[in-house]
Amino acid sequence: MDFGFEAHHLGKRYRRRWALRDVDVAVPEGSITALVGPNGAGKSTMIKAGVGFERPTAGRVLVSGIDPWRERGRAIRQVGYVPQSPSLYRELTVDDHVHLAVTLRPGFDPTLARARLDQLSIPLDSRADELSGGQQAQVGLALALGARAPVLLLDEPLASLDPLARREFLHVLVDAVRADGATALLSSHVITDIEQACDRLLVLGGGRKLLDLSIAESLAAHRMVEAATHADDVVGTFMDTTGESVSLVRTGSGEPARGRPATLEEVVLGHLAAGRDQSVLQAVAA
Amino acid sequence: MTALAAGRITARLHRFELAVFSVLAVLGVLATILIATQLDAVGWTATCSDAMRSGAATPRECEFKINEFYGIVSGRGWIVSGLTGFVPLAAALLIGVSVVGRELERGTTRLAWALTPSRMRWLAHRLVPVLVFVTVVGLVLGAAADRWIAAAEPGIDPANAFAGFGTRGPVLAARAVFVFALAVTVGAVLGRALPAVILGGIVAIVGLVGGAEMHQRILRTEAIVIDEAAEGSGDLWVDQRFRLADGTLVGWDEIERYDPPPVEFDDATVWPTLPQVTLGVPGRRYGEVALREIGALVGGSLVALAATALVVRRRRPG
Repeated sequence: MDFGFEAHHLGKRYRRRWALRDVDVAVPEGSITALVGPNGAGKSTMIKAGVGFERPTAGRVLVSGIDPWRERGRAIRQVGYVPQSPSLYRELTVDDHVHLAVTLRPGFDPTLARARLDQLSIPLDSRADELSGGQQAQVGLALALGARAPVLLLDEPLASLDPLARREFLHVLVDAVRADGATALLSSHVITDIEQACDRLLVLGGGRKLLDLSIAESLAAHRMVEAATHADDVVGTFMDTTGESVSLVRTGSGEPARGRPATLEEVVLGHLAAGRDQSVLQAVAA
Repeated sequence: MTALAAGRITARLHRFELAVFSVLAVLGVLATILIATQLDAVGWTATCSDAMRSGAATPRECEFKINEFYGIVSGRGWIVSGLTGFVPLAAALLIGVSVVGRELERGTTRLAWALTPSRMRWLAHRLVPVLVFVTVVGLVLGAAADRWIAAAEPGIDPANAFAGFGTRGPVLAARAVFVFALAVTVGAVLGRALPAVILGGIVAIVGLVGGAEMHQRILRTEAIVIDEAAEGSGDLWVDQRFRLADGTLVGWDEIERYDPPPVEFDDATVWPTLPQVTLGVPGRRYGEVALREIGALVGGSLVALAATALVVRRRRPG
């Protein structure tokens, strides 16, 4: 199997704190992978390492088999990147941004970018600072798509969007990725949205990888039970919306299933709770 | 086509600064033409200037013009020297820090650097159009300052005179380019516009003053004795010496040994009896000296821009 994005023993340290530690990831080509985790989990760091914006302290990242830190120019040609905040030039119009991309990126497809913007009724003659947050995010995505890159790295582009804008953004993303056969790594907090758009789930917590499965496998491999802190199959325990403690457990092979099926949100929460407990234990041990 | 589009985009990014400094540059040129024309109309000639400089009796035709002429030079003349001297350097500083510094501060480098496989291409697109603007403003106002010197100091040929050295002609443009390059570097290192303006201003002042001091030292080693008869108002005065009977030149610090009774330096009425000579650089060397200064400033600018390129290659995008 070929991979669009890989991390091998990836570690990144800021002064004394490790943002990422010994993370191994392989995102299959043609997949849309959700990168989920709490603030400070290392999601942005991993994505920025993929664009060559961060130098790994240990291990390495590959995009389409190229190390972005060693061969940034070649790697960037493989990547379309949407940063957390749209980072548009407020003095420029939307169309200026398309022109800018043409001047900076060999092979940029302005027709594709304009078509995406047109599809969303974003006026090309509007200045960036006149657009809503959702429209700015769409411009960022249109520029990333116009690059016709085989790998799309999206760093929490949904964070500041309203539900409708999020839905539209994901719709455009999925359409484009499916049409081009690109690979996408999308970091996000909003689990309900990514469930519809993504086919893989990668959970980071405390700078470590907690889960890396397809969405279907993630759901099939877990169930929810009432709080059961000492059972071997418990992944993590957390409070549900009613304030009751519940546990995410792994489904064993051949054993009769107990509890009820887990939602994707519960899978994520269970693993994040496990990651949090692990961090506490490590801190105590240290 | 790409270069033109890149230039247009960069011009849009800096349109406020470009508009303000274009207006100021035009004002500077118009003010220079207007006030220099007023000076010309006074009728203060080279004869008047020479007579005044030598302390000779004021010629009759100059008598009533002195107040008017110097009234304009010391009054409205400040507008000219202020605009021609300040605008190119201010434009260089303010535009320079914003080229990389403001983009880092606003985070637009995240978009641009993720789009371009070559950050050097991005840097070139950002730098070249505004560098051309700063150079043109410097050259235009430098030419205006040349015109002003010609009007304010009748009888000198600006192309062969050191009067106003560094504040006029192509040297002014080279200084603006040097300040621009330093400002770009400081902006790229700090990644924030306002602190970069302050630090860039300090670095530019230190760079310009240090460079001028160094150049002055070089000129001291090149100074020659200028005969009184051949002395012209365009020469660069470096020092005064006394000529001993054997032709040796000595300075004020040594003269007591050769010209007794002791000279009382605090009393202007007591004067050494030995003949004094002027050490200086003849005005005819202006072009050559100016070219050397321009070369040094351009060299310094290239070093600063190379440092910027290194910073941009390795930096996080803000």
